[in-house]
Amino acid sequence: MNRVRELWRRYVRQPAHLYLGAETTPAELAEWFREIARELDARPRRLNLVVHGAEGVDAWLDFDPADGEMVARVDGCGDEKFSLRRRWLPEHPVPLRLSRASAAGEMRTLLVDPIDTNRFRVRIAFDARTRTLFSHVFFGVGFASLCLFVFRPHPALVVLALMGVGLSVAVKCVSDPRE
Amino acid sequence: MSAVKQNTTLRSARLSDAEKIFALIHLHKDELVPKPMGDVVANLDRFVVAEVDGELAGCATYSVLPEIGAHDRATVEIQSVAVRAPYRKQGLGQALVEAVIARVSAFGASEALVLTFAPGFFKRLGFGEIPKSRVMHKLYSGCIHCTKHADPFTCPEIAMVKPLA
Repeated sequence: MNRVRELWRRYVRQPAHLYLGAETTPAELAEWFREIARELDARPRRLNLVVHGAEGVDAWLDFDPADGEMVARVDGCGDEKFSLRRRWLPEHPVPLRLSRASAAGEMRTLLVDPIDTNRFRVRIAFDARTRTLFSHVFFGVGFASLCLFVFRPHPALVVLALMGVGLSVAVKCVSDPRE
Repeated sequence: MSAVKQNTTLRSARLSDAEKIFALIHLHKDELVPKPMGDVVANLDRFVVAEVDGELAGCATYSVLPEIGAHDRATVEIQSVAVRAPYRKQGLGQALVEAVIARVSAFGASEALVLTFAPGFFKRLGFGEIPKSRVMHKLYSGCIHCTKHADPFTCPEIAMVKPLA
């Protein structure tokens, strides 16, 4: 039962969203990541970065080799240190351009992956969008089958409903079983 | 490994060098493809470092590309050749590249490949330019980690190889 509850908790966990607009400052960006770091538990967390506005904004995560500190940089607005030295492992290739090749409304997903109670790594989650889409489609098929079963009870519909929900959970968890 | 100059030593990297190697590669982020810390640690045994008076002055590493060349005589790419500014013009870069070539020759690599912004340096070491289309697999598997250019064919890096005996 605990396993089912845990699976459900993982399934319903929503990713955090950050909207990058022309007015976003490096201090806001850094504070957002500090907040994510404060809230971290043992589970990985997805961060969706959405470029807001037609012009978007060029924002970067960078590494200062002088003191080993991570830095948030927004073109034209300077930079801000994270104060997360030795907590944030620069696991992605840095500098990481957050808004690279992004049109307005496009999303880039980062995965914050805790490796112990004090340290975490941040990686680009390339397949998050496709995975979420498939997961939603399977869940929809399962739910629709269940609704049909209420009106026209048939064993095949039960199987289809179970398969739909099962596949949606599997797709959601497959690339990172701890999530 | 061999000593290049007095107070200069070439040696295999140690785990305690990982952070310094990562920072050194990042210092040259305009010329080198950035490597995540995890990559540096996981492939630490492939790094050669140059130490001057106990300070890490330079590094170089390699990656085997079994997709390029015959399966039993693959091509090896030399990567992350970096020397800190105060230690340049002392032959450290050349010594690092030669040390890596000695390592990869020992296991039968057919050629050493570099993608570089410093073709003059590698030409002096016996490398010759080749069209990038010869190393397509490398472009699409390695360049995905680079944040500088969206298209590897518009990237001004030059592909060069040196046949190994």
